[in-house]
Amino acid sequence: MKNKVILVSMFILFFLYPTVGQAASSPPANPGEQEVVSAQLNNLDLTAIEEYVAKIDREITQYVPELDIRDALTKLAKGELDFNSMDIFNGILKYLFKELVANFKLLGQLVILAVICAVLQNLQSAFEKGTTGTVAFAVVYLALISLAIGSFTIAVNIGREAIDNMVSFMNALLPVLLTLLAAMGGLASAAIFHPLMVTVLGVIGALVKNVVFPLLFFAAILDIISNISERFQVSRLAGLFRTVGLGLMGIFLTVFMGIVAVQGVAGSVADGVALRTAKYATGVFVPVVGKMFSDALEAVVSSSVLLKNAVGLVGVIVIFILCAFPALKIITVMFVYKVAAAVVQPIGEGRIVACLSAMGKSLTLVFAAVATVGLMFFFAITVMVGAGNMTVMLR
Amino acid sequence: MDIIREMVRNIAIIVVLTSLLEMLLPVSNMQRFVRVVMGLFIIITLLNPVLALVDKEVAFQVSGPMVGREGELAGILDKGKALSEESRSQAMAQYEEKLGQQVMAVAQMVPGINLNQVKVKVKNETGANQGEIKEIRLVLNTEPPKEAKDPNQGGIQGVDPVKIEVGSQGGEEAKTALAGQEDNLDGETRKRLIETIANFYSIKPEQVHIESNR
Repeated sequence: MKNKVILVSMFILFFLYPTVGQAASSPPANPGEQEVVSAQLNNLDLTAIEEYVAKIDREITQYVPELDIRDALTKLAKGELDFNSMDIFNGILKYLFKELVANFKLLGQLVILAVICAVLQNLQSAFEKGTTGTVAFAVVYLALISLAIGSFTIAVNIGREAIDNMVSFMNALLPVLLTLLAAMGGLASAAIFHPLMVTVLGVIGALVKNVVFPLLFFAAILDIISNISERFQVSRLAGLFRTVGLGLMGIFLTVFMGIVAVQGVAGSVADGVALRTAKYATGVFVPVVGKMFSDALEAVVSSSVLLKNAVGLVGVIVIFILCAFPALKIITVMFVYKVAAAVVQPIGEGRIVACLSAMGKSLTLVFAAVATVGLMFFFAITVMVGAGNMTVMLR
Repeated sequence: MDIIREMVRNIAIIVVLTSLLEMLLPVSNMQRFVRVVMGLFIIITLLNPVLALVDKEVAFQVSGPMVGREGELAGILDKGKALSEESRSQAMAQYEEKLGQQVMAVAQMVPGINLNQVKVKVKNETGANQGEIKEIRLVLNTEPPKEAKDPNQGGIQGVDPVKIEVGSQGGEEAKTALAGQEDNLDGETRKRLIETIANFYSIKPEQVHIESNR
């Protein structure tokens, strides 16, 4: 239950977390600022991000408004982007229903198998020996296993791919964001963030893919085989794997948040002090016109901030798209298993119901892993963008 | 992970075989013993990897995510500095433009002045006194007042576009201009203009130059 509350709050956060959006769409810039922003945009190397966005799955692009990075950034900096979050939300709903309908076939197969199994079990008494019924159950159960493992493998691979995509997108976004951070005077922040982010992104991506996902996969397999025979149960081992996987995710999240938040503050304070000193030097020592000069410098820096926030917002949107659609795919499969378990329970054999609901549980955890990684990256972008804003605020 | 994968596979095989064996066995007292033996098998499979861990030292290391990216930070910082230098020069250009407009307005306070353009030269190098005024060059219109030429103007003089140039074309020209032979100002007005500007910006009178646009 607690997990579900966390998951729901993650999604609500995704939609409602306002910092970046507000900062980016703050009052429309003046014409001078516009020129500075577009000049900076032209000097910025966005090829990596553009290539990435172009690569986003064809299937997904049907459901979200088209995103031209350069155009979106210019519009965002002007404060006039008509990127409606309702469009994305509607797209997501549409996608969800499409996936549900596509998975109805799986639901049908599961239910039919369970019904056959129940009928065979009831016929058991008609046979001379009890073992005939057991054999029949074993056959049906094997068919069910092959279905379950097939769809579970697909779901895990989708999750794995989603994490891969998010990590490589972050790797493309990071240099651009840090260049802008350095351009507005956040040299210390950029120098702290880069090695840290590259390491943390790489390590967490690899650990989730190579440790957490296999653990969840093994837990699912153990759950399945533990229901083959009533006498040899290994469900506790499956539970152990699941707990370890979940615990690792929790540790990753905590450590990641801690590191990112602390480093963000440390760097931005150092940069803020440096900027303030520079401003003081020009404002005070140059007679009469010093103020005018430091004001001109400040105006240019604030347009850098505007651009950086716009890049951050676009990054958050792309991360959200990369995370939400695979997550939805996994959710629909999970939903199908839960529904199948619920439908079959009144007629079915207890072990089949247990197996179906265990599959549902494992898929929930796969979904949680994908969503957690998305959330981590989302926070990483927010903190990097926020660090720059704080630098400017401190001067 | 390989150890765990191996373990899970073994458990799966043993459990499936056991259930098969269970079906094949006749219902007798033997069945209980078979079950216990099979259970022991599963325990051994579970414990085997743990024993293997004790045997050999496992080195936990994640292959370096920084490989091939060491130079990236320097590149990012360089690009950032280049961008910020670009912004600084833009800020400088804006500043000079505004300053030129201000000087123009201040100069109009002296009666009888017909300015064509103002060139302001500021200290461009980064440092403590960045943005300090180095020199102000006022370019006068030497043509006779416009109303004499063009009666349709209605007595109000148009102001020519302001053009500010930053650069090192000072030098010799400045000295000749300072000598004052080129412009059509009388000594008093000239002095007042220089003093007004020098006092307003608290710079030395030598930093203000007047020349004509001829």
